[in-house]
Amino acid sequence: MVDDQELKYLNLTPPAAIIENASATVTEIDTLGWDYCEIVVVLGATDIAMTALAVTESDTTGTGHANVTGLIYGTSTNIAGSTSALPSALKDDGIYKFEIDLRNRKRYLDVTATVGDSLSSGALAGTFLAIFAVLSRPRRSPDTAAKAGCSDILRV
Amino acid sequence: MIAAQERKYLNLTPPAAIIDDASAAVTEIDTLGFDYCEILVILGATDIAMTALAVTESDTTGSSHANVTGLIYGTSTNIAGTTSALPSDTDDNGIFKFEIDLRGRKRFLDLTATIGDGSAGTYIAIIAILSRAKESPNSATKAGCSDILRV
Repeated sequence: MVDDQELKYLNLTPPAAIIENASATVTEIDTLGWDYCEIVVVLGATDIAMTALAVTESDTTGTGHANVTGLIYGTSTNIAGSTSALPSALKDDGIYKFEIDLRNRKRYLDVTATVGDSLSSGALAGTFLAIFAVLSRPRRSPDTAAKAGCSDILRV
Repeated sequence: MIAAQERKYLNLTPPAAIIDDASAAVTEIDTLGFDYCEILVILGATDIAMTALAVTESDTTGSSHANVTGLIYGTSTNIAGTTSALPSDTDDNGIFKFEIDLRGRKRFLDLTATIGDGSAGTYIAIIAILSRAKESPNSATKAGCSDILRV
């Protein structure tokens, strides 16, 4: 078995126009059938810090979400054992990752990702970002591109 | 071992302004130390098909890249056993993936990702995920990340 062929990808926040002083639109994750989840926040050019970056959870789709302790950038402890920091204005092209054992979690996950108010103006005022999730450790492995969350897959 | 904690992420084409009638700027991948690579081509809104989407390889960084047989959207066979198609103008928010066993490959991989001439173009980001490491990454930096939170 190749672990990397047993994954499902979710395009939570597709790449889009730059965001400033607003929260990204993020698609909720239904984790049913999976035991592990990575959420990857991918930054492009930025000139402003984020004011919130956290994972929330709920038993009910679309409502009742609350922050997950340990998954709040700015207050939670990171894997190095120190207090994490929110992405700053200097983190162009950075990747911020959440790693989540789903066996102790509620079914639905979501992400709060808010970009601060840049003092600049023009095309590079704000932050380009994209967010995707990788579900792994499935009860039933995906056997098609669609079940893996992809439009198509080439393999060599 | 949790495989998801043993991967390295590379931000090959960060999210940026929309691209029209041009190729995306893609950072070359140095695969040294890893045995498997996934490349994710993540689309946002689009109004035009791509005209090229393929993985190239070389023994030398930055030069002599050539297409990898089997990793050319539009001509290569996909995992369903049919001829793949290039991303179309209706593939908004689609993810096109390459899965590569590095044991038979050259050290440096790159991508050709060209957007056709549309009214607005295509938002795109490209990420690589290296796995099956000879020496597992034990810090966020070694995993290609600015930081990692884990529960």
